[in-house]
Amino acid sequence: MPRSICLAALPWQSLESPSLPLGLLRSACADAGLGLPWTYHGALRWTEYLMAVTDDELGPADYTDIAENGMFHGLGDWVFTGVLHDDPDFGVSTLDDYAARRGIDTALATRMRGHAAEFVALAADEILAGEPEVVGFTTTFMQNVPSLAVAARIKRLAPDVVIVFGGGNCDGPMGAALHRNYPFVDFVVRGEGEVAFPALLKALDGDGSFGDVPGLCWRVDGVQRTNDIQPHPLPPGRIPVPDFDDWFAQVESSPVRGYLEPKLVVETARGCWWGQAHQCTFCGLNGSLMEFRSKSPDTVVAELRHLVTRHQVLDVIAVDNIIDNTYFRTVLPRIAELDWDLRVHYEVKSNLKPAEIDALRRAGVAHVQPGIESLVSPVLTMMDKGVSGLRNVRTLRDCESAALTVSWNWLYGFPEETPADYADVLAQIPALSHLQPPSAAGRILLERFSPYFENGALGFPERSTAELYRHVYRLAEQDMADMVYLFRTEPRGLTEAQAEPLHAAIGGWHERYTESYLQRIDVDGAVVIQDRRANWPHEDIVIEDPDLMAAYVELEYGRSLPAVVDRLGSPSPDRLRDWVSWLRERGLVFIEQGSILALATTAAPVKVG
Amino acid sequence: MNVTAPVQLGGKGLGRTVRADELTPALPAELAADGCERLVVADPVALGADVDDDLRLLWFLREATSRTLRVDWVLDGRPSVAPREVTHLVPPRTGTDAAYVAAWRAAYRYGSYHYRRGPGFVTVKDVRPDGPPVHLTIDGDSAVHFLALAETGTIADLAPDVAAALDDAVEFGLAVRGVAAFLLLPFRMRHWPVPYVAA
Repeated sequence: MPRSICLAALPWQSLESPSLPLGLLRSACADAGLGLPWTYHGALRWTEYLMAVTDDELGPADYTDIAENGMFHGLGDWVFTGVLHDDPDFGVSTLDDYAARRGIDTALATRMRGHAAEFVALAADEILAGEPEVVGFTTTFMQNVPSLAVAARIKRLAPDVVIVFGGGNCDGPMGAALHRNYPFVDFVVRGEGEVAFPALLKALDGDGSFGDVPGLCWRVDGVQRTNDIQPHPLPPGRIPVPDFDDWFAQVESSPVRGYLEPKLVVETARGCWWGQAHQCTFCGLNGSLMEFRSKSPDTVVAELRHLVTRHQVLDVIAVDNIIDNTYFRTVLPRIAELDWDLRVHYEVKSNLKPAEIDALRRAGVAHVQPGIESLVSPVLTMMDKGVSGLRNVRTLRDCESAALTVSWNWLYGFPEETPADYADVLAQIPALSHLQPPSAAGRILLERFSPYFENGALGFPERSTAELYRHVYRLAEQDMADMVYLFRTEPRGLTEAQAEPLHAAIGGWHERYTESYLQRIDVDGAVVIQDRRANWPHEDIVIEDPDLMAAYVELEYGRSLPAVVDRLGSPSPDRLRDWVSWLRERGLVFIEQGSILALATTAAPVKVG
Repeated sequence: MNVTAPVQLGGKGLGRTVRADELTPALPAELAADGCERLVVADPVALGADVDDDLRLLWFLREATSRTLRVDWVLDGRPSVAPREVTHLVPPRTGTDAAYVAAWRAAYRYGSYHYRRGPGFVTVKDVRPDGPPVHLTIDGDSAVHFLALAETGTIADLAPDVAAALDDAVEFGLAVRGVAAFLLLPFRMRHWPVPYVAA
C-alpha cells in the first residue's frame, strides 16, 4: 500500500499560481506507482487565515507585498521566526535596528507576525488531520522558516511522522546544513526531486536503501550521512507534467479567489544555455544544475494544451531561466496557430532579434524578462553578459514596438566599474523616456553558486552571511554559512554617493515613461519621426533625402559611422557625422562606444499608467 | 530634412481619414491588416437618433479598441445606451455634449471590459468603474454562442439557439439589444497594454 503522503508549500509561494514543485512531485509519485500525494497549500491558507482573523483588513494584497518585496530583507521568514524559535521576541530588536538603518517599513510584517503562531498551529493540525505518514516540504527563498516552524510542530505532536525537505533552498551544501541544524527534519532531498523523492518513499517502505537515493541527507544513529547529488540532470523527457488539480479545486472555493486571477506555471526547460558557457558573474540562480535541457516542441505544445484546457486559464508563467532559442522557430509559431488569447511570461536572452520578438508577440507572450541588467557596456563585460549596452537599448526599443512588457533591473557594484564608465550613458537616459525603465537600480548581492561567490579572486574575497539572516535564524555564523543563499561582502565599484545620479536618472525616467512616445512612421516616401516624449519638444522630424532615409534605417540596427558609409557609400562621412550630431542633440539616437542606434519605435503600445 | 510642429499627416502607416458614414465594424481589421494604426474621422459622428445605428457604430468602436486602433473622432449627441456600456471603448476627442465626453474619457481605461478565447472556453473580465469586478468563464455551447454573438450585430442573422443566448447575454450585461441590432459589449483582447498586468 502506498504511504499517506502530504506535500506542503508554505508561504511565501506565489498566491496566484500553484506550486510547481508540488505539481511535479504529485505526478512523479503517481508515475512511480506510489499514489497521488495530497497537498497543503500554505499560501492560500495563510491568506485565508489573515483575512478571517483581521476581518479582511489583511488580505491577498498584503500577502503579495511581503512575498514580492520582502525577500532581500528576509521579512517573510521573519514573520515566522518567533514561532520557529519558540521566542516571540526573537529577531524583533534586530530587525528594528536593521530596518531603521535602511528606512524599511516593517509595519505590515509586524502585524502579520502577531498571527504567525496561531497559523502554524492551525497548519500543523490541518496537515495532521490527514493522518500523513510522510510530510514533504518544498522550500525556495522565504519558505524556509515557515516550513521549519510547521515541521517542528508536526514533529512535536506526531513524532512518527517523517519530515522531508527539498527544493531550491536545499541545493548543494544548503540542504546538508539545514539537515544538520534542524534535527526534526528527518530527510533532505538535494537536487531534482522527481527521481529522488519517490526513491526515498520506496526506501521508507523497505524497497531500496537510503544510501542509494541521490542527494539524500539522512541519519544513522543520529549521525548525518549525505549521498552524492545525482551527477546527471534529469533528461527533459522524464520531467513529468505537473498535476495542479488540487490547487485549482481549492482556490475556486477560497475567499481569496475573488482577489486574484489564477495563473498556470509551466516549465519548458531547465538550466541556462548561456550560463553553461559564460555564467553571469553575479548569478547563482541555477544552483548546482546549470546544464540546459529543454522539452521537445511536441511536448511543450501538448502540455500547454492539456493544462490550459483542463484549468481554463490563459495566463501562463514559464519558469524557465532562459528560453530555448530553437523555440522561436518551433514552439512559438505553433502556439500562435492555436489562436488562443494567451498572456505568457518568458525569460529570454537580451539580444533578441526582431523576428524573435515578433514570434513572442504572436504566441501571446506579453511579458519578458531579458536579463538586461545594465546599459553600460564595460559593466556588461564585467558581468560576462555577452551583449553591449547599445544592444540592450535596441531590445528595449523593439520590445516597445511589439508592446511587450519588459521587466529588468539595473545592477551596479561590480569590482572594476568606475563612475567614468557610466557618464556617457547617464547623459543619454533622458533620450530613452519612451522605452521601459528598469524597476530600480540596485547593488549586486553575493549569491551562492555565482562565479563571484565561488571565486573570491574575481573581486569579493571577504564574505559573511547576509545581515538579514541575523533576524531570521538563531544560528552561529559557521552553522549558517552553508545554509543560506545571500552573503555580505565589501561593496565594490560605485559607492552609494556615486550611484546617486543613476538613481535620479531612473526616477525621472519612471515619471516620464507613460506619457512619452517616439515613433518612426513611413509616410508618402518620407520617414517621419514623431517626437512626443515628455521631456523633449513635441515635433515631427521629416526625413525625405533618400541618402539620409537609408542611413536612418542602418542606424536602427546600431552601426558605427564607418559601417554605415561602407554599406551605403553615401552620404559623405562629413555629412553623416554632422547629421548624427544633429540627431544626438535631439535625443533621437543612443551612442555608445562608437556605435549609433536610432531610438524611435516602429509602433506604439497602449500604455496604462 | 524638416522639423515641424506636430501635424496630422496623411498616408499609409501614419493614419487614414474617413467620413463618419464609412465607419463599419470590418474597417478596423482591414486597417490593421494594412499596417494602419490611426484613424481620423473627418466629420462628427452623430449618435442618439436611432438605437440600431448607434449599436452598429459602437460595434465599430469595439473592433477598433480590440485592434488598438487610435481613432480621432468627435461625438455629436450621445449614444442611446447607458453611459456605462461605452466606457470601455475608445472615447471621442470631444463632442457637442462636453460633460458626457469628459465623463467617458475619464472612465475609459483600455482593457476594462474584454474577453479572451481559449480551447472550448471564453473568459470575460469586467472591471469598468462604477460596478463590481466580474470574472466569468464560459464553456460548452455557451462559449460557442458567445463567440457567434461576437461575429455579428444583427438579430435576424442569429441562429435560434444563438438568439436565445442573446437573451441571456443581455440579462447578464454582456450585450445590449436594440430593435434589429444588438451589441456584444466586451472586446476581444488581441493586444496587451504595457504593463501587461494593467488589463
